[in-house]
Amino acid sequence: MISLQIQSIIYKNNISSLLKAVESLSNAILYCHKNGLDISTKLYYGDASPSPVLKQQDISSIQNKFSNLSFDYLFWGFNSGTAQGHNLLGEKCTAEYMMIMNPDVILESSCIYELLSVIKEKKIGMAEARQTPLELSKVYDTNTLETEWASTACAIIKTHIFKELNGFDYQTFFMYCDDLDFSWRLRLAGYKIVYNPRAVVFHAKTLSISGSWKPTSAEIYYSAEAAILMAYKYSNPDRVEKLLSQFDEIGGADEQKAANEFRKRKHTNKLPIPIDPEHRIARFIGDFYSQMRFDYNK
Amino acid sequence: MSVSFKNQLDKLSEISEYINENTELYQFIKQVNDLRNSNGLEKISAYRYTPYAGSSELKKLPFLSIILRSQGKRSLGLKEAFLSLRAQSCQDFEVIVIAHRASVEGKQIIKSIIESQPDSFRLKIKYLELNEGTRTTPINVGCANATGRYIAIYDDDDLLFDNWVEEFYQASQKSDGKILHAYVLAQKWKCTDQGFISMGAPTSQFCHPFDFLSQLVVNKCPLMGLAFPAHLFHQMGFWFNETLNVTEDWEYFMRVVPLTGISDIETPTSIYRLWLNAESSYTLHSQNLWDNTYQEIQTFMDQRTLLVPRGYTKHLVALIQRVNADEQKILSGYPKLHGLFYYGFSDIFSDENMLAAYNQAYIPHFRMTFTVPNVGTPFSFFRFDPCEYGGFILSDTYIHLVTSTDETIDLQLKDCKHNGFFYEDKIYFLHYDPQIIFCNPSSLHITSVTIEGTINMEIPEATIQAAIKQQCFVAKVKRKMKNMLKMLFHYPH
Repeated sequence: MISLQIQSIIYKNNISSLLKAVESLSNAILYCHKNGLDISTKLYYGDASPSPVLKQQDISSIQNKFSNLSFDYLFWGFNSGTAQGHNLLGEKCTAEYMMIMNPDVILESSCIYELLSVIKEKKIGMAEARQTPLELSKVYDTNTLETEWASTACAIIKTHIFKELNGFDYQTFFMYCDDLDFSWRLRLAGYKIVYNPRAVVFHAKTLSISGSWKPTSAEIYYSAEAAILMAYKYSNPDRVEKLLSQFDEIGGADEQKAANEFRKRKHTNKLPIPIDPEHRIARFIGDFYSQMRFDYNK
Repeated sequence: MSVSFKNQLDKLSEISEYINENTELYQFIKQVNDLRNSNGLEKISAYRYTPYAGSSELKKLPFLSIILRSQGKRSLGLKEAFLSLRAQSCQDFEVIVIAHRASVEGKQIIKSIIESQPDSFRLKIKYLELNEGTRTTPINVGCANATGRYIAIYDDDDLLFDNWVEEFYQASQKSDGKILHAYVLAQKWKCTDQGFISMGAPTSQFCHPFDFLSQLVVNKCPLMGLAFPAHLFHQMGFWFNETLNVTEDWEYFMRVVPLTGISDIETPTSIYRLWLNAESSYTLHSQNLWDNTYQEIQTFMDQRTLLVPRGYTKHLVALIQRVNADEQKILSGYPKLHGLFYYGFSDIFSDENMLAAYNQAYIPHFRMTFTVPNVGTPFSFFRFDPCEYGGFILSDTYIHLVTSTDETIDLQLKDCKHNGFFYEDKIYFLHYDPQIIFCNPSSLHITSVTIEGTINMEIPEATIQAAIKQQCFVAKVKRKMKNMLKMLFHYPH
């Protein structure tokens, strides 16, 4: 029997969208059973909101309605961010596999089945689902499905590898690039990552009339902060300087705030220890961390 | 019947003896009545569209009926289509899945995908099997079985954002009775053995407000961006034309939009997938069929009285003024831009491999597009003759080649040979039969060539003199070289 722990970090999410996601998880587990995959599953929600999103009646309703999932809800009372949140849920995981996912993604019926079908090989540490309607445009090998990093919008990780790597680097990354950093460390440790385009999740995003991305202010800030930290952690001081001067000179308020935060951490010795000095794994290609098939904003 | 419309009809009946069959008003009203319970061509028997199944399991009638045609050949697409619907922020819809001319295996695939859906979504699905008719027949059958206030058609290979139903709903609240038109993004995709892969960023060529005049020329509204009021079918009897295998949506849309009007939703709510290597209506049907159907629809539209929506008179006036201005320019000396395009395997061309096109831009600019035939071996040489006579300057000229792998190669004048004079980034064509020759720089088949540029009739006298001097100089040099070569090879004879 395969054991799987599914975990999401919630923060002020809408209950109806959470229920839709849980329904899709329950349905995906049912699909596994109907297709001969013997699997036992636990679902954990870690709530990092200022006040609990789910009341006891909501928890009971989920437990009763979706009885093929063992559901547990933990309210922390502080904003852990996704990286620390997943570490808190993952540190006691006893299942063979962990599935990290955004709390509002909706799984296609065969998603879990498809992810588990590609992760069996010993060297593979992580398997990522394809997001729809907007697929990430990073390059992957369409024969072997190997890719350079995985988004944890929906991905399965072998638990022993998660623990081997001490989970996500929450002290460096609050929200963005925690999955990228984890992916690169996984590969530095000698494991592979695969991307399965047949494992599909719906991840709601909007595009403008011109077809370009519309990031929020928080998204701009956290991704700018993470960009500098990734460059620093992966031994690329030139890139650090380039980003800092770019953010200082032509960046908006969010980018300048990110640059100042980096300087503050440097001043207070709160930066991570640089790794991958030979750049064996880390790649910085323009604004991206791998070769991309196209840019959504061009 | 609404009170206000009845009042209008009552008033009109006061003058009915003066509205005889010679009047346009009579012909228009007769046309509306004649088109009811027809497919736009002939009367049909409504029994063909009698509901197949009983009412769906839904407790209340939905806002939107979504018709989804499938043959079970694209299981990944169908799974993703259902997922997009499950993700909708507004769940007030039913789904009518029609397995059209599907094989036994295809039907099984469709049914098993329906079975694999969560209960709450599966309850919204009505499954029908239809083993006859053209591509358009399942739309009519679906409409006949629809119980929603509005009807949308969504194929099993396109994508929706989660606001697709919600935006239709909000628009219907403000514009009930009108056709609803939402923006659609387009995106290139490919099929691989492992699944689907996106090949480019979404583009916005279908993200414009509805323009009646442009729509007369070409369809710019993909079907899944439209929602039709259901009474168009059920009460008014306007059905899709089942004799058409392609552009049936355009024909239907232009037949009914003058009656209902349209409400624009200026937000993208879906993605139209442009398949680079998979079966689609573009690959299933020949270019001839597309061309013939286009002409057929143009003829249908031309045979009818056209009700131009409010606000378009000024556009028509501007259009006519521009045509008149262009004609003046031609009268005042601008060449008639009727380009000829030659293709071949060497720089010797023949009229057998020649295409003609009209200018698609406003003089003094020109833009012409030619579709290059595929004969197996890619053509390597092309020639463009912009017009018959010279005596003009060509500038800002760009040549866009599109390859069979959908890449674009851009050429400029400096990449071409020609029979004019190249001077300061422009070509001066002083003689009859101007020609520009260029090569295919790739080994791929070129599927289309677009040439655009600007023509200027005012050639400065000084430039003409300089060109003549240059020509004389070049001719002089050529004569001297010819004489030297004669001496070298004939000496001491």
